[in-house]
Amino acid sequence: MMRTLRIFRKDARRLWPGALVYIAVMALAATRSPMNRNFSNYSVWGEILLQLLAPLACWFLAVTLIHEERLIGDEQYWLTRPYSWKDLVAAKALFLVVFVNAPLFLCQFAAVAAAGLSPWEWLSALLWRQVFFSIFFIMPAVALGAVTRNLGQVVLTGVVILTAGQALSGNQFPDWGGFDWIRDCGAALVMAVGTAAAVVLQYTRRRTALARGMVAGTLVLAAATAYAPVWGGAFAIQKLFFPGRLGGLPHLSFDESRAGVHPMSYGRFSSDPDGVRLEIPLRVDNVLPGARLGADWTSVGIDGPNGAWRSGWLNFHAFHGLSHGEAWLTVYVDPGFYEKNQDTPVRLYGKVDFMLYERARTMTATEYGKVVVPGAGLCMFGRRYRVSQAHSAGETRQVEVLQNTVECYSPWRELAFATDRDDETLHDAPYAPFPTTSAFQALDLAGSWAVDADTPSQAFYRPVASAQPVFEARGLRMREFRMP
Amino acid sequence: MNSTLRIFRKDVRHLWPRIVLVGAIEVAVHLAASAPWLGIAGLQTGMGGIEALAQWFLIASAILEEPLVGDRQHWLTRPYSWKTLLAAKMLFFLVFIHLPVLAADGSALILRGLSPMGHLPGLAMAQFFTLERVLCGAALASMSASLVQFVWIGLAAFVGYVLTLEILSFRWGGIVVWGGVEWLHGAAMAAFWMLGAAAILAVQYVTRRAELSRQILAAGVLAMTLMMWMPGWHAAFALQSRLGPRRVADSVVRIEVDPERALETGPLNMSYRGREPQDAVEVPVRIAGIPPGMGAQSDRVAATGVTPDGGAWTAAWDSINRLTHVIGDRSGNREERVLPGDGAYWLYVNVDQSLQSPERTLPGRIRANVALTLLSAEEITPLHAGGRPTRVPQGGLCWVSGKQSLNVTCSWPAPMPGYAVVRILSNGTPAGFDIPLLSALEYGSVSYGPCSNAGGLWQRAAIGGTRPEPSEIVLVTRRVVAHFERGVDIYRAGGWPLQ
Repeated sequence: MMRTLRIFRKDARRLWPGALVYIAVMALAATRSPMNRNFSNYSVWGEILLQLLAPLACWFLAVTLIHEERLIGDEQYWLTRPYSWKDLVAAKALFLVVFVNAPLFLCQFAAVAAAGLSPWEWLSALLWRQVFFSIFFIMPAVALGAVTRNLGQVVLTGVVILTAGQALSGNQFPDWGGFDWIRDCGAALVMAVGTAAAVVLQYTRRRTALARGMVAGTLVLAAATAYAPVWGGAFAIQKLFFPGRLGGLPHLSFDESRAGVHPMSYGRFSSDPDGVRLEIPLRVDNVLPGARLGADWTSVGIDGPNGAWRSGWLNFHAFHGLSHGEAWLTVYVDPGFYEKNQDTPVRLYGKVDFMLYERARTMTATEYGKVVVPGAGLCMFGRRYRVSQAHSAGETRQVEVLQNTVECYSPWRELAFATDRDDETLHDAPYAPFPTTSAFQALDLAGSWAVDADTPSQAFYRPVASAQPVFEARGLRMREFRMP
Repeated sequence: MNSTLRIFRKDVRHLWPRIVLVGAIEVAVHLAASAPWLGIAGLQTGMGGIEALAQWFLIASAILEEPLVGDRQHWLTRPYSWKTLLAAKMLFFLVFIHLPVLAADGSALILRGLSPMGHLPGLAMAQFFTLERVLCGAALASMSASLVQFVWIGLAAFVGYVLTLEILSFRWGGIVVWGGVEWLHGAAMAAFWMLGAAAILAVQYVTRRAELSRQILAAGVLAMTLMMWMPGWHAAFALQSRLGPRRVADSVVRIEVDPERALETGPLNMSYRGREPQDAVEVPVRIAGIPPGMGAQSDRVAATGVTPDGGAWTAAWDSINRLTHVIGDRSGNREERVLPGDGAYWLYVNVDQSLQSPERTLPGRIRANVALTLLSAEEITPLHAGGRPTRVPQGGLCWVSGKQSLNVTCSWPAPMPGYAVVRILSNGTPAGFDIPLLSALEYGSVSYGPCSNAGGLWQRAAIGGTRPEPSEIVLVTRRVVAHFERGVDIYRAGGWPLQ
């Protein structure tokens, strides 16, 4: 322990200027709450700078710390000193906790308190943010420091990684919707295990080539996880955290009474898949009064006399329009399959991933301004002009309309928001049992909603149970369900 | 000269892996900026920062081959002077930073079927801004003992810069952006940076007084921050008017007050202007003399008048003061700053809030000066929807992607159009629905100069949205014809009520 503390003190003496720059960046980040965002160009530019400065300061501090006792080369003076690799690793870890994690945590804690929220209420969320911050920001830098000889090598490697990352970022992540947190955890697990293994290998054996391979493999695997397509098994993980409860779960059935009827209006979204669009009427039962359903992934299959078709798991606004137990399911069918089977009886079956939400809070905004909503964070009720498209006399034009707006900021988006006038489904509502963000800022925009000017009250909902009901219908003719 | 070349060759031998990597990034970034159809959108949007980091890394590596800080500068004992050493470094930067950028920009123009000779001013300005980057990186490295120190000094300077901006913005509001003449603002700041960097390099190479250099850096950061609020928009616009592209006769675009129209029919003083609304005067005006088919873009307006107690008030050259074309009725209207031809418009002038007028009416005589940009007739180009790039006017290329969604990405070499919108023509909307792509508003992307507002040769613009079906997508552009000012004397018998 004494040796660990001695190394720690030596590092602190040598690296305090760098640590000071990092802490200044942290303090700056804490003052830049997203709530203070305004229209000035500077704010946006300052945020971009912070997104660059804060990670750079963190990475360089971690790398220079590791390079204090280099692991590569044949002149490692520290090997002749009377301490073990464990003392060295412990000293480095202590330095990172004291000079990287702790300042960030304190800045975030202070930022939450300054926003009028109780930091103690959000303590677990703030600690979870530290976990993911350590995995996504500190561990890769430590691993990079352990497999490089000097800062020049680090910068070269960093430029290559950044270029590859930037090229990848032009592609769209497959949208996992509410299940995103599972993919984030998967990437975090890969990153934590891979980088930790490489660091331990370097400190114990100093087998640089192998360690470099492990770091490269970890980065590739983590990127592959982050870009993974929708995976049906995610529901089983979700179910572990939100098991069923007494009172039962919702179940689905085909609503024969509405066969041949189409929804009044339902637009297309840019995330919709291609294909021939069918609207299937469904009946939803066993939803407790006052509860809301959040619908996420859907999987549909159709068996016909001229073949079979499977959609696979898809994430778009397929389940919609739930009202008094009646809902619609949008299905985009392969045009070739549709052509062959449109007039023949087919068997349609599928599953929908649901999250059941219970009302946690209700509030009526009697005046505009900031309101602390327990569990939801700091909510700002206001009025704002919004540019909208108006259609009249065959012409589309932009108009400005005045709307009531609600914006909530918190360290973690735990609750969903809805008005009494919304339908009974919740879209883009949160699923995660803990925050998975690794951002430097303490408060994120947990949600932003525009509501009718005369909406009397707003409600916040908490996820309580997940369900994956199945449905089946036989003897359908697809032509009857095709949207005109 | 021999010594210079020897040092240069030694640097190349030492640093060739870094030279190769940085050169590859430079070429990729500049070629990607000209080729939106490559589909590497990420390379086009975020690579500017990575390119800068890579270039600074190479610059610092070259300078730190012979560090100027510390007490073990081996090169002091060698038989060459500081001038030889500095010349060798400058040669290195010329060959491995400037030339690759120039070659990549030139190649991109040729690949697009354009002549580099026709874009010499743009290529020269891109080199000017590259020189700023080179000198700043070299100055920073010259006051560092190692790459680690270089990084920390650079980060500290950045933090100081942002902190000062933060503090000053509390007092003075958002930084000043000059719209279409922002490139002149950027050039002035770049020239200032280059002077400071040259001073630091001179101090370091001649006397090696690192403390003095660091003080110059600190003063430079402070001065640079202040320059974010520097005045001079009107002088820049006047210079731009002289630079062209053309001059126009005084008879082109005449503005006079329209006494026939009631003030109550004017646009509402809406908040959607990027800033909080203040007390304002809205004057109905009539514009004549816009050549047929052409349009006029309102850049800024300045005004002077007298207060009820006989004093003077002034509305400065500010982007919120402008001529507007109001579309729609009073309750749900939209303002455009491109005036599509002769007709009735509104002149909006923001009045200083410090001006307290209990009667809420200003005396009726006001003198306004209006800065305008004359735009050519609309050029309409149908865009290919199948992923193929479409050639558009002024050397631009546009690329449409997305199936349910609509994503349009275009890039132009400077000088770019003064106005561009993506127009969606669908069955339901025969008149079309415009989505702005390039705009010369305060925070817009149009540059009137020979380079983009960011200092490069290429300007990229993109929009995204939901595609109505079925639809035809066209790009509507207008060229910049001339920049000029027009004065107008405004009078109303009963005075001007504040909105």
